[in-house]
Amino acid sequence: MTITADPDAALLGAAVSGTVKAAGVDVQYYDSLEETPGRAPIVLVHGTGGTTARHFRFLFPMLATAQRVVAVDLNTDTTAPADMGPHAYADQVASAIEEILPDRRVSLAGYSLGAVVAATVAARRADLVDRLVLMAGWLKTTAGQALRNQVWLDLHRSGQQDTLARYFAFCAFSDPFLNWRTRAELDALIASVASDDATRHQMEMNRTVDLTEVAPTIACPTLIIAGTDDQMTPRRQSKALFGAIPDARYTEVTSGHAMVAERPAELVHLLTNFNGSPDRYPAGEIIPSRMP
Amino acid sequence: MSESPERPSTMPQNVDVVIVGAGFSGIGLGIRMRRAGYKSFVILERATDVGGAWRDNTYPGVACDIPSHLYSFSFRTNPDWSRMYAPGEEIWDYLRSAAREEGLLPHLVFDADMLRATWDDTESRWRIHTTQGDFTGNILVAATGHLTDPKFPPVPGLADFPGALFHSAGWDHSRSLSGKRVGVVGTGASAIQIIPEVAKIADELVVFQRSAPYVNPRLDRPFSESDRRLFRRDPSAMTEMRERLFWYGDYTFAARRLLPAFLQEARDRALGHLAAQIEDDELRAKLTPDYEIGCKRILSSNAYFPAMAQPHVRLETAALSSIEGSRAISAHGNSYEVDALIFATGFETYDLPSSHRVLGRGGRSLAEHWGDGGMQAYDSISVAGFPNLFLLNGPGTSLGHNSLIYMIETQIDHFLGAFEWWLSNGQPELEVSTRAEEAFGRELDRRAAGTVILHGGCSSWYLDPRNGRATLSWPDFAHRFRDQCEEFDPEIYTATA
Repeated sequence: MTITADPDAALLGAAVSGTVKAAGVDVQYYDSLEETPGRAPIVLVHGTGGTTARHFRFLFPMLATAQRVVAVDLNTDTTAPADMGPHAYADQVASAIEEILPDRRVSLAGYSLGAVVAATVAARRADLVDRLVLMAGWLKTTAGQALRNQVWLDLHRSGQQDTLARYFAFCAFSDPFLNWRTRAELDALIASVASDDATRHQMEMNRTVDLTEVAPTIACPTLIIAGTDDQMTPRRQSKALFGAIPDARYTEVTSGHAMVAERPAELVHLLTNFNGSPDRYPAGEIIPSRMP
Repeated sequence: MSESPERPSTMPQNVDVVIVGAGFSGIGLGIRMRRAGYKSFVILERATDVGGAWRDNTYPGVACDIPSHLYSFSFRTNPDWSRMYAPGEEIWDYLRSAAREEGLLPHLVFDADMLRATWDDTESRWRIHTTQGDFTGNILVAATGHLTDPKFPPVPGLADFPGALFHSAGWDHSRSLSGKRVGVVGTGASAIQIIPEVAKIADELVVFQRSAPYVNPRLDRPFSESDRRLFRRDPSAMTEMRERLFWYGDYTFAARRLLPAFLQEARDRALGHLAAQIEDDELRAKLTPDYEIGCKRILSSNAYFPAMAQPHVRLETAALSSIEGSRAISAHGNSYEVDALIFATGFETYDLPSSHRVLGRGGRSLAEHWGDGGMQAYDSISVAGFPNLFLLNGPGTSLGHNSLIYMIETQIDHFLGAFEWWLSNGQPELEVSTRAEEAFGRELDRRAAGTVILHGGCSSWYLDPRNGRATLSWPDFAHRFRDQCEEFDPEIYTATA
C-alpha cells in the first residue's frame, strides 16, 4: 500500500489516498478513516466512464459524515478482451478491501457498472461483504441497452465527440433534471462527459453483462435502488435484480441513470440507513417512496 | 378570523394538551391531533388570528424564501399556489383555511398571551396563566417559534425620531411612504424583499448594510391554470415537485459542510447573479459579501440588485449608529435626512422571550435552566427538569438549506409518538435526563463545528453570542433530522407513574 497526495483527495475530503496492489495492478483508493460505531465501512465502486471523483464527489464526503467510506478507482486494461466481463474489476475490488480493511466485512455499494462489479464481488466473496447496495445496476444486458450502446460506440468510432457527449447527457440525465439547468450548467454537464479509451472499453464490456447465474448466489442483505426515469439501465433491470437476489429489498429515487448527480442527498439517506439497520425492511419489500 | 363562528362560551379549562402558538407548528399539531381523533386540547394564541409569522409580516413584497410546494404541510398539499414562491398573504390564507377546515376553531383561544406556565409537581400538570384566564394541561407544547419577537438594535435617539418608524414585522400601513425619504436598516431576508417595493414609491431610499448578503437568482414563476389543474388532477405531480425541491435543498448542505467544490459552485451561483445584475464596479464591490457563503442565510431575489442600482437609492455600508432628530447617522459618520425608518433587523433568536415564562421543576425557568450556555433540547424537543413539555421549532431546528415545515412535521410525529405512549401507559411524567439533553447538545456542537455556520467568518442569528454555540441551528441534512429525531423512544424518557 502506498500513500500518496492526490488532487482528488482534497476534493473528496478523504483523510488518506494512495494506491494498493490489487489483482496485479495498481488501484487508486480514497479512505475517510473515521469510524462510526454501529455502521460498517462503506466501499464505493464507480460506474462506466467514472472515477471516485467523477461519480462520488458528493457521496464520498457526505457519507463520511456518518460512517467510514473507502472508494476505489477501477483500473482498466484496455488491451484485455472486453467480453471477459467484470471479473477483473471484481478481483481488484476484493483485493483492495482485503488490503485497506483487513479482516473487515463491509457494506459494498456500486453504481451502474460498479453495481455489476459489486454484485460479482458479493457473490464470490461472501467473507468480505455483508451488505450490498446496487444503484442503477442491471442483471443482463437487453436488446434495448445494446442498441443504445451501439449508437455510443458508432459515434465514438467516427470521432463525433460533441454529438457523443450530448447523446450521453440525454441518456444519463432525466428530462426534468436537464430542464432545471441553466444553459451554462447544461454546457458544463455535457463538457464533463467522458469518452476516453477506458470508457470505450467499459462500454464494450457492458454489451455482454449477464449476472443471471451469479445474482441468486448472493447471500447478504441487499438494497436495490432504481431511478424512475433511468433510460440506460431502466428500472425493470433493478426489478430483475430484485427478483434474482434472495435477501433483496427495492426502492426508487425520482431520477435518471445519473442518480449520483441528480439525487445524491437521497442516496446518502438510503445508504446510511441501510448500513445502520439492513433488516429494517425485510427481504422482498418494496420500500415506498419518501414524501418529504 | 372573519369567517370564524362565535368562540364557544365554555372553553375547556383543563385538557390533556395545551398548545401555545397558532403558527405553522401549533396549527400543524392541532390538525394531526384532530385527524387522530384527539379532542382534549386547546391552542392558545396571543394575537387575534392564526398564522404566526405570516400574520405578523405584512410588509410590501413579503414572501417565503422556500418554494410553496415545499413550504406547506405534506399532509395538506395545495394545488392552487399562485406561483413558485407564493406571497405571504397566500401562505397566511393557507393556514387560516387549514385551521377552519380541519375543525380547529373550537380549540383556539385568541388574545391569550401566555404570561406564565408553571409545572405543578403535586398534581403533575402544567398551569398556564394567560390574558384570557388560566388553563391546565397534562402536557404543554410550546409551539412559540423563534422568529416571532421583533428585535431593534440599540440606537441612540430612536425614541425621539419624529417620522414614521416601525419594524418589518409590524408594518404600519397607515403611514404612506410615497414620495418620502426612507431609510431601511438591514439587508437580511425581509429587507431584500422590502427594498425593491419601497424603491418603487419613495423619493429617496438609503439602505444601512452591516454586511452584504449572498443573493441567488430566484427561480420564481407563476403557476398557470393548466399547471394547477394538473396538480388537482394528479397530486403526484405536486409530490414530485416537493421531492425535487427537498432533495435539492439537502444537496446544498454539502456547501455548508465546507466541501470546496460545492462551496465554489454556491459562490459562483450567487456572485454570478450579482455580476449579471450590477455593472458598476464600485457598487458591485459594496454588494459583495466579506464572509463565506452560507454563514448567514443565503437569500434569493431577482429584484434586489436592480433596485440598489437605481439613482435614488443609496447604499450605506455601515450600521445605523445614531439618530439625531430626523437625521439617521451611520457608523461611518454619514448622515441622511429621512422621513421614515424601517427596521428590518430581525428577531430575538438566542434568548427567546417565551423561555422566561415557562417554569419547570422547582420553579426554574427554561431561560434559567439554559443560562449562558444557551438553548438545547434532547432531540431538539425535550428539556431536563421540564416534564411533559415539548418544544416545537425551538433550539436545534433552524435550517439555512431546507424547509422548516419538514422539521416541524418531524417534531409533530415525535410528539404524537410520545402522546400515544403516554395515553396507553398510565399517563406518566415524561422527562429526559440532564445527561440525555447534554449529550444531544454536545453532538450538535460537534456537527456544527464542521459547518460554515461556525467557520464562515460572520456573525449570524443562528449563533448565541454569549457562548458561540449555534443553538438555533440543526447543523446537518434536513433528512437526518427525521432519521434521528422523529421517533419517540420511551426508554429515554423517565417514566415515573
